[in-house]
Amino acid sequence: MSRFRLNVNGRVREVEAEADAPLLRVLRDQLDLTGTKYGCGEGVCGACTVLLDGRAVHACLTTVGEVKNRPILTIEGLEQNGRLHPVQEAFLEASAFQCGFCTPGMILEAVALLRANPKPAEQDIRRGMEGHICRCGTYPRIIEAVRLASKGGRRG
Amino acid sequence: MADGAQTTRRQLFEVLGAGLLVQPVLEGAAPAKLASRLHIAPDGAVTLLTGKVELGQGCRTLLTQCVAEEMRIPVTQVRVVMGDTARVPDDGGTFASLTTPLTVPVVRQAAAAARELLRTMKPDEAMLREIPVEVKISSPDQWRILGTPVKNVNGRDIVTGRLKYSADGKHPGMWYGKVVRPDAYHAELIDCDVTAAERIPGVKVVREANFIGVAAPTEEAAEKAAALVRAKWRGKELISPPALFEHFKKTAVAPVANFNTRYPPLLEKGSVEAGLKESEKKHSAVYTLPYIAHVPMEPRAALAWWDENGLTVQGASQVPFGVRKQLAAAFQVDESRVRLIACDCGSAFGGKHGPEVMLEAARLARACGKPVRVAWTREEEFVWSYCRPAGIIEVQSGLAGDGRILAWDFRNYNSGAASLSAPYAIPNYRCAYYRADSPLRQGPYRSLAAVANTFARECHVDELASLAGEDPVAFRLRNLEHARTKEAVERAAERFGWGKGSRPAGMACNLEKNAHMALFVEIEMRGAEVRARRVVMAFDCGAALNPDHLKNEIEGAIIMGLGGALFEELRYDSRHVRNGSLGRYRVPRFSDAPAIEVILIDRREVTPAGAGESPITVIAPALAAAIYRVTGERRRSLPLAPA
Repeated sequence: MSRFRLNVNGRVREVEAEADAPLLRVLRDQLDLTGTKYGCGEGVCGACTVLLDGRAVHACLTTVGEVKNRPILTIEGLEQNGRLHPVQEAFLEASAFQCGFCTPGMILEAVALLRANPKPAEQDIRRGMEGHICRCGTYPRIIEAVRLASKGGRRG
Repeated sequence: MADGAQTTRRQLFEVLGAGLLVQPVLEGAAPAKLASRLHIAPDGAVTLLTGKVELGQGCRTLLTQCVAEEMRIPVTQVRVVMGDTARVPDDGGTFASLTTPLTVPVVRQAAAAARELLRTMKPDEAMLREIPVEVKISSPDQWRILGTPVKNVNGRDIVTGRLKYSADGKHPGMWYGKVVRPDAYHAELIDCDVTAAERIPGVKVVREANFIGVAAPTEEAAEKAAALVRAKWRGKELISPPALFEHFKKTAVAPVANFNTRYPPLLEKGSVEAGLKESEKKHSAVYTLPYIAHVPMEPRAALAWWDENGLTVQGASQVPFGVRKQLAAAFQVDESRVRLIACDCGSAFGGKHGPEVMLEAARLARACGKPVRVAWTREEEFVWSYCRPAGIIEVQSGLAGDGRILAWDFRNYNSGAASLSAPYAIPNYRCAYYRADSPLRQGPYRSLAAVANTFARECHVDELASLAGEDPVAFRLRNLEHARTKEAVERAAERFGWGKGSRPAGMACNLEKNAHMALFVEIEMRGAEVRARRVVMAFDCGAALNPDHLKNEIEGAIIMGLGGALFEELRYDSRHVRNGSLGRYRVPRFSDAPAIEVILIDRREVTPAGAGESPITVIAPALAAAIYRVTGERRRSLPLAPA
């Protein structure tokens, strides 16, 4: 066991873990950031997506040792002073979820996608989001939400 | 309208609190006292109590709408407590699309009564009254909230990650549990060495009969310890494909007519033999479908603790009162000493009926005297939950010279009886569901056997249309029984441009759980790969209580159904499921999703049927019909295009 200083949602947080412990487990169990979900444990469903240095990564395959001092953004850190991020607003606007379990990962992926490509075509959205599974099948609405966010596109 | 809200607010009070009356009632029946259904707080906030559970199907929002509508208060003033057996009445399990037909009327009645009683008597007196049935609920032409696209009341918690699912709960001093799994189904534990596991500090190993589990203060320690348990199992060989379908027929039990059940297993009219004799053309074919997995995004999890009140379990469950009963029986305690708190589910699709993970958490918690949480891995979810039944369906039919179906013999082995009958006007039929022995553990799935039966029936009808030399739409319109099903077919056909496009297309229709529907799909084939490009679905379940959410459900059901239609299949050998991971079991993704247009036929005057399940039934046969148009080949086994 070692102590690590993590930079999560703009705050420095100390955790105690093995260097190869999955970031997902540390976020959920030690930091109580349960908005990041376990879905498959092998990086193929996207439910555990967080942003590391602004890029979407699978928290289930990322180890604590890799991330020390690098900025991590989880779904809990996206809202600023009670104001939702435009992507969060767009998901609400398009009702782009049913059970909501995959939504945090979808939203963070969309945030990263729009930073890299502020005006994506539908094919870009499908391709960019392909690593995420929504078992409720709300894909058309998620595509619509990302499109809406890109139109509003302030911070996107 | 505004008066109503003001009346309610003027008569603010706190109702009962600790002395809350909760009475178990029959499924769908109203609890006797208003106080067991609604609370009204001093600030005017109204709390609805219901045994129904939110699974993503939208019933939290729908029931909120019902209360707001009948009490004439804003949606934001209503809160819904669901699935906590210590606080809510038993509304029956959340399955079979029953919330809309059974719970919506009960809740509307209670809310309308509350409004009426609060106007006419003292609050404490009102809440102790039985819910009067003569109180009128609002009529559709007055609706301001029902029938409108109210947004998901969980929305903000969902997009901020605040909504708590079963694996998100914590309890002071909580430990983590892991179960040591056998290397085969139906295995018996014959020997087990736990010394290495017990050497890890803080670990508790629990062995009870066929169960071995471990609990530890951290999940890592629990995982390590579980991996160190040396267990020997004696397994039974599973009957696997291709022998599976023969096995179903060999072990089949002939059905007996029974109409005191939701899905009668035997339906007969006229004489199939006479009908076949009279027929000008005859046809027979066999359809099969494999076991598939529900794959809820949230693998099941539960947190259990024992204290002076008995056992409390928090987790995902579609049937909180049923699971409470099972827990009480398993631990031989009185039901009153078991509390089940059902969390909002990260989807279920019929897969979260059972008590599996709750029993495990409760067993470990009892053995180590601590709160214990067990959260299944994705692999456990695939291998140790139950699956959608596999089945084989034999159909024999006869056609009159004018294209009417005269005879229909339909035999389903193992799949189930939902949607067993055909929505066609057939003078002679026999539809039978034969129970059979299933090697894999099987259970409910979204729409039950309606996927299987609709697949076989609609494929067969498409084949009959070919045999009659007729267009599949015209053939259906000639044979369909109900005007509403016909209208769904006509409207979807028109929007789709049936017969006008150059791309290959197929269609299917259904009448299931009182919803009428027709689906048209356009496909593209590249080699063995089949892609649905565009879907038009017309759907009529009576009044659309929340039209946008209803569309969301229909779109989602079509996409989920696409997986079972094209590529989903649990593969297993003589011991185990072999593709129990999301890397190996393919489910629909963004690239699979077609453009979907939903036509809602909103009949305000018709009492609504539930719609969370039935729209999953029509995509598979429509795809099979479209594939036939491309290849000339009738694919009669699901999945239609396995990888």
